[in-house]
Amino acid sequence: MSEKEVTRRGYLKYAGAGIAAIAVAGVGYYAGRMGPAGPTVTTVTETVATTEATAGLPMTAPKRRYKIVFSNGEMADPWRYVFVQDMENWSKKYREMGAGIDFIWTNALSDSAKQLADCETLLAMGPDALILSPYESAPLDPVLDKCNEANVPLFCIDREISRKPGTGMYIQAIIMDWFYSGRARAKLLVDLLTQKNGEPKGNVVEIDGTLGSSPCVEYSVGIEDYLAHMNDFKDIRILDSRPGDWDGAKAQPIIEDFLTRFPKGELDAIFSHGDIMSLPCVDTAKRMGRDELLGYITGQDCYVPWLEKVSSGEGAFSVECPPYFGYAAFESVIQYLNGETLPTKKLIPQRCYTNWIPGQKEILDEHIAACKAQGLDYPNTEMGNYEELIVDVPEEKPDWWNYGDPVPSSNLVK
Amino acid sequence: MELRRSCSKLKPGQVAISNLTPLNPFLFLMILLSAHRIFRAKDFLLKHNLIIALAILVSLMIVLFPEFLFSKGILLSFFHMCTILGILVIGQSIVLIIGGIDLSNGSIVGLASILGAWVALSHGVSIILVVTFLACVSLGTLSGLLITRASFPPLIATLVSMSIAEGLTLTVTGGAPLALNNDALSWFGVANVGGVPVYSMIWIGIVISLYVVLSKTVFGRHLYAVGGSERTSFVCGVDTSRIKMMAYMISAVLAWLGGLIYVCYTASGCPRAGGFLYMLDSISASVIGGLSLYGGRGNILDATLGTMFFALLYMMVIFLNISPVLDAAFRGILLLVVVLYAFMKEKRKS
Amino acid sequence: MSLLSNGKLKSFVQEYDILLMFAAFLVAITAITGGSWLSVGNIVNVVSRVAVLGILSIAQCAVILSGQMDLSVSSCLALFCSIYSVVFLGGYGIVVALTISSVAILLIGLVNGMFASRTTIPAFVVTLGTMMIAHSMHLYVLKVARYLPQIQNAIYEFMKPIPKGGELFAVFIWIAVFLVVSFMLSSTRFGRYVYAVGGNEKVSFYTGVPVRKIKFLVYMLSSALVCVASFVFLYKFANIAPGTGEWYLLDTIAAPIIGGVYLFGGRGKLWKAVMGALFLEILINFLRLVGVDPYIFSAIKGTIIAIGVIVSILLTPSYLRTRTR
Repeated sequence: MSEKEVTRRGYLKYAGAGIAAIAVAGVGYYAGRMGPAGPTVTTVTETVATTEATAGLPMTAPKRRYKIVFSNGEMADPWRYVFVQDMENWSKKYREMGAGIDFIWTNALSDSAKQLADCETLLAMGPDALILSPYESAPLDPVLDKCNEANVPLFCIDREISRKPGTGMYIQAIIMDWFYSGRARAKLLVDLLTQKNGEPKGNVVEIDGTLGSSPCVEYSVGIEDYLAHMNDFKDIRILDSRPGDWDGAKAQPIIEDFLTRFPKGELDAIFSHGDIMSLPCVDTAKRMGRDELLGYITGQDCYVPWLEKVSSGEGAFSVECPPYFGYAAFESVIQYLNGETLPTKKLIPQRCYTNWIPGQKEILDEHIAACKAQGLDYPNTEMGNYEELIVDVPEEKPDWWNYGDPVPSSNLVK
Repeated sequence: MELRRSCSKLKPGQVAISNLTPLNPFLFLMILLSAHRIFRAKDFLLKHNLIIALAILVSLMIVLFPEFLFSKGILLSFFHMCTILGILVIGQSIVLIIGGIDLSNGSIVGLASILGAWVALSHGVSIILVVTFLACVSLGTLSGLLITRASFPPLIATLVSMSIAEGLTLTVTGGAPLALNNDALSWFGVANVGGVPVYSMIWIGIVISLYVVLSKTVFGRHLYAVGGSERTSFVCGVDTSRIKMMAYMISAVLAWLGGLIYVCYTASGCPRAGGFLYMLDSISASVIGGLSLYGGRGNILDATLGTMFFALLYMMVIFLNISPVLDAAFRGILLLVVVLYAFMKEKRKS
Repeated sequence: MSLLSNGKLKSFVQEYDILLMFAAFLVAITAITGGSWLSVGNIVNVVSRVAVLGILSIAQCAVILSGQMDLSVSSCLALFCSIYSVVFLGGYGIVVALTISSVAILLIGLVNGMFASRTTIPAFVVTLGTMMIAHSMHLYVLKVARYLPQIQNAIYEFMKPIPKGGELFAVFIWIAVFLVVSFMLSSTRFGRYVYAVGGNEKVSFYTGVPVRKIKFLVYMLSSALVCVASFVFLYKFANIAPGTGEWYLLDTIAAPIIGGVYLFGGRGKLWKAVMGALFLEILINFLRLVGVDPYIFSAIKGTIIAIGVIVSILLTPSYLRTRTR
């Protein structure tokens, strides 16, 4: 074989490799275009569009073509996907309203320094407003300084930075209160155990999300606050608590080991902080012959497959953690830019679906049916029923804890 | 994919970009570096192609987004992205030159960051430097010892350091970040001279000084010798163990610096700083800059050009509003294309 | 004393050192947990849990034996799962979904193989690139975390007659894969060539071993095994999230090393990688059963793995630890 031939064959092989790579990308892209109900990427979101628009959610029309930029902190957790997709969908809808908007977003890949750099870049594009979903609160305080310097209004969604809204160009924080969420969960757990044992006592194992992340820290504080500070539930003991990182594949071995370590009779409930982790819990409990735990497994996020389990009695409850911030965020931004004044905080209300509080099961079934009809994975704001489904516990951070204190391990038995 | 035109529609009275700079110092740095490389070019042709690619990329940016030339904000964000990655890349290049690899530099950044914050909060700012330095250098020493005394493959030794660093990092606060309300640190994070942040000047200083060390001093020549052929240099009397140990320790110290800069930049300690991603990026940027994984060739200025190229590409992805999810795919494709190109160039030469 | 001075004992210990240490480890944890570790239920759980890591370790071991490394296994597993999920939810049925996903992963293996065999680019860099591409495609394709128990239910139904059949199915597949690959490596010409290429590439080239083809085929084998591992993953866990599979990457490298496979290739048996994988999972299981504080869990796990890797490498003769040029 002459050298020229070798080289030519070599290049052909490279071309082949390149085509293979493109083919993989193509397969991936084509596969991605197939959504749950047909061959378009935006299927889920388009059905949301028709329902919400026709249901008449009032949308403010922008007076000029605003340039709105959004810095997202991370996409490592499944909830974030729907979150980011919701922002994109609503941006598309607002593009058609009035003068329309321009929307650019970045993702910081779970890195605060990168998110700071992203904010710098976005601010340098001359936007009219910056929406920020911080990966961590304290490290992103400098963003406010940069916004002050650039004279660009800042809106925080889903999580806050450490500084208070209303200072400088920090106009509003649109968040979910994780402390409330933790307290609500604790209260529902207490009710659940009281139902089972006649009084608030029981042994519980806990499966957390990612240790150290803001939601995890904050709802742990909320749980500790409810169980130990607001009341004194000495007999509710959390025997062990492991992080499942909001991934069912990680949670399944954890729950198997829990059930091995605490055999029948030693465990009353599984306190799981993510529906996607609770789903394998049910199957594992059945497989390992621990049917007495069915109905005493909790969740968070209100993922529709889990809500079905709550409805059928295998799960206990789920506290909402709605990923739908798009509407609230864009409304606030456009209203502010149109010239209105806004309150400094907007809390997204969180519903709690249970199957034992009278009247709630019907609402639960209704919402499940509505979600399935529209192809949604989480119940959206449109479905309402907020009065009936909100648990009565206080909101906001408790006084006995500050950022930087160690995270309480809430009744954790060592 | 919409191309965003650069017309920034500013409201009258609303200033989105403050303090225009007459010439983007970042661009200036890049031009200086490229010129130096072109005139000193001797062996590796990839350098030229990297510079051509950089030139194309920069021209594209200027054409599509003229703000790039003058905006202080974009400039600052470039420096932010480049500095920490650049420091890590310098350490990684030194290790690559001797034929090894360092997987632990990302995790050391996180360790330095959270340990520094924790020490600052409990014992005061002054001993941060000492404690974190000791911790990071001991990890570097561990890698070095395993490699030189116990003949470990560098991949495994640094993997071991990496897992120890990660474990330690998660132990300090359980993974939660710590906020520092320290004025001195915050000043350091924000201070800049004509658009060049102070910590970036540290980076540039390290680049220049280590380049001089590597090209002009005996130590530098020994590094290249060990990288070229360890056996031969040992036979010629070079203390290979010491050289290798120094290389890994330098890499650890640079990662420590990166962690401290991270603390200043974000005014807090983040345990999830650095990590796998920074480590992969440091390897990719070094390889793009012409370093070879087999060792013995490449230099720091090229690696710095590689870092800048990396940062520019990332910036382009943001400006062109391509979905950020595909960011990693671009890096992977870029890496593969670059190494393939380098390989083909070599083959054509020989 | 005569037994000790006899070389046979020493070589036996050197060959099976990891097995002896593993046995000692098992005895230790049985003592510490008071035997609760040894219950049938727990052992079945752990062993079936290891199946995914086990198959991935076998894949990685095959690649390591040929002197290379495959960093893209964990991302390919994730990509397989996400392509499966979208195709399946698009209404195309399990078999079609699995086929399309396998095709995609085999294409990635093709790219890996082409780069590794046709160029002198180090395997580390090539698979790093493909890992990043696969990870990105996985994120792009996966829209929402999914729970898809269809395969799981089907297999549990299928294995109903056997007690604990559902869990043991993973173990059966794992054992089958092990037997097939082990046979390939020890008794076929392909296997001998793999060891040759890993041992000394130049010499094997000059003695007529088709080095390029072997290097390429090894990556294809790795991709095929990743497909099998992904199938087992889907059946065992039924859960796909953006972070799926990330934790497997370092474990697939650590498992063969702890087991005693030589990193530069050419020496080592497949069962050593299997042993390494079992060690890792049993360690984690043990730490959980004992109730180690979750905050120092990672530190302890990382330290023990580090010690395991250090000990394992220290046990190999030092002349084998470096690859001189």
